[in-house]
Amino acid sequence: MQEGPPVGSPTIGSNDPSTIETPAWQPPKSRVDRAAEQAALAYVRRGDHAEALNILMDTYGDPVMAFAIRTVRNRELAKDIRQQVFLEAFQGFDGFAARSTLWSWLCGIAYHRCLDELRRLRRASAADDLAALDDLAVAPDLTMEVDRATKRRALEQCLGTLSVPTRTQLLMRCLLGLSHTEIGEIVGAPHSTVQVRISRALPRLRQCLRGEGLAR
Amino acid sequence: MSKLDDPAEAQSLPDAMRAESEWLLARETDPSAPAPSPEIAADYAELEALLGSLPSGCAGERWQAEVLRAATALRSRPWWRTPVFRWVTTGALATAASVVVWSLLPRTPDLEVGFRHTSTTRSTPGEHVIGDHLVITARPREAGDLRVYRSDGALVGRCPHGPGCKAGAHGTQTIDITLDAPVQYQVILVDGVSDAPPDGSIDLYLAAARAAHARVIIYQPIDVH
Repeated sequence: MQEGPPVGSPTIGSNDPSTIETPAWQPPKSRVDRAAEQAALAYVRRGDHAEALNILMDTYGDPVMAFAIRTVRNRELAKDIRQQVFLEAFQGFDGFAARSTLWSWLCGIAYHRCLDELRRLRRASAADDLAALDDLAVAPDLTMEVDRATKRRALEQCLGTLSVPTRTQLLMRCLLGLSHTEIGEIVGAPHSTVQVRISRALPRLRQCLRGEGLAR
Repeated sequence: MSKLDDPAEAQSLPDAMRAESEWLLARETDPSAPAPSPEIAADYAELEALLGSLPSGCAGERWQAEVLRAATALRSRPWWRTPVFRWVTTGALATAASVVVWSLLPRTPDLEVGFRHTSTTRSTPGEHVIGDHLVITARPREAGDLRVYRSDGALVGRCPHGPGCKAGAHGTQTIDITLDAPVQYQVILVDGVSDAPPDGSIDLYLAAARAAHARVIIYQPIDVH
């Protein structure tokens, strides 16, 4: 285990412990856009599914893609999955019972389509497209400071070391902003199991970043 | 390398990581739960911020129009080309085909012969005595004619339209007669003939059935003592 980062390498957090502040922890922010959801549901009730689909794609297209590409780790596959997710939503509007948010519903579809794709590929690693993930580390904000890009690139690599269930649940929590209960409903596990899995995944991820010289 | 699942992840964490994991778990219920160290708390804050801001890498792409086109095409597809209709139709056709195949399968005519012993008789297993009941159930494939002859030439049971006959559902024929003489009884099912002679000796009957190319099933002779 590496004790510390190489001299001159960026690390997560400041290099000077005396300047560290520890603000109260906030759970990941929900991505649910209430106004967009209400508007989309109103269109669904009126039978204008195309307009509802438009709203959902505008609101949730990017996070769905961000999740899919990290799960299947291949940009083209992720694009196909994004298309499938929204087409499936379009076909399923009539059956949407509003027991969850549209966002959580879409996340469930995305999760299952990603797993289908991974099963189809048999091995998750078969489709790894690390070049695409490297691109993501610096895109789309080209003015992003170098150390943040470096961290993101390392993070993409480290995410790939996690198993698919762990990675997907971690991403659903931290990237998609779903609650443990929502994740549990999607993956068919008790929320406590999800909670434990994620609480064990984060230290592994931090450990991996330390191995890359990017954490204390 | 990514894995579909990794049992190693379920194994216990090293002590330092376990302390962090326990803190991460604790803060879910108590956000002010103390971190192992401020540096670690700051590390996780940044790690989670990084995770939360992972980009899609596809901003500005014109993917939505393509999805809308596909969705509209789905919507305007005639009902007979929808997946649901296809599934239902396929299922119905498969069921119909199964029914047709089943109805065309040659069914073997069924003949069951049993005995009912009354309390006044003392027959042993395999032995039949006067007073026992002979119960025959036949399920002919086509029009069937079930008969019981005695070795003295008497026709003692006949189905349909004869002594001891009871017609059941689905063409089942049942004859229940009392074995009333110490002779041999012969059970015959003729399947596929409707104009067998109504009476006459067993030999004439069998000759007529065979001449009509009917299927003839003869049960082993039953001796009655």
